[in-house]
Amino acid sequence: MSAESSMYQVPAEFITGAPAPEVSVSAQSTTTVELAREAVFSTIGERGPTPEQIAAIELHRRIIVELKQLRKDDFGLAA
Amino acid sequence: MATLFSRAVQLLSGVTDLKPQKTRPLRELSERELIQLESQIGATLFGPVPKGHRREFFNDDQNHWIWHEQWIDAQGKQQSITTRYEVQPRGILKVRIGEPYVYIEGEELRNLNMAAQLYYEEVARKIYKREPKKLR
Repeated sequence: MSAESSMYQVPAEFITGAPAPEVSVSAQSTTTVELAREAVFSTIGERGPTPEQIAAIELHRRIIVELKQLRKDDFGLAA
Repeated sequence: MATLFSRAVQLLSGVTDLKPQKTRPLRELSERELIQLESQIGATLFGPVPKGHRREFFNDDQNHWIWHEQWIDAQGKQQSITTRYEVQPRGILKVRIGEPYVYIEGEELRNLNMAAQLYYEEVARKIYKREPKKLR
């Protein structure tokens, strides 16, 4: 990894940073999971995404489109 | 003459195939193999992987980011945790088995944004040898 990129290193702990919502998922059955999903979606649906989330969605979509294009184009390794 | 030269090179070098080398070796790789290569870079975005840990971080070609961490605990038992971040119309949904699903916000969202952007830039340069586009 380059020195430049390490300046922007992402802390590995970030995956634990989310607040705990009220819906819990047992993950024992698909039905339970799907019900929990619907509960989450309906809760969020009432509020809608924040401007920060909207910007993030747009960013991730663009990144994923670019990644797919890179794979598709198959530029390969330089000599 | 060319044939004679080729034969001489074959005898000297032991190389039997003098066809031009592929300039795009990754073409031989499947999409899954490309993603595995990308994941090796993704694993480095969060700093050194602790000894005994195995880490993967990649985009799975759907609208998902996958984080997988595997290690041996103090009792010698293998532990692992997998987190999937789904890019949904209403936000980035964090999915982890046995835990509540949640749309991430704040610092966690900003960190994931940074990780995804770094991932794109690093794999574009190091794997595909392309200069990444400015996405912001």
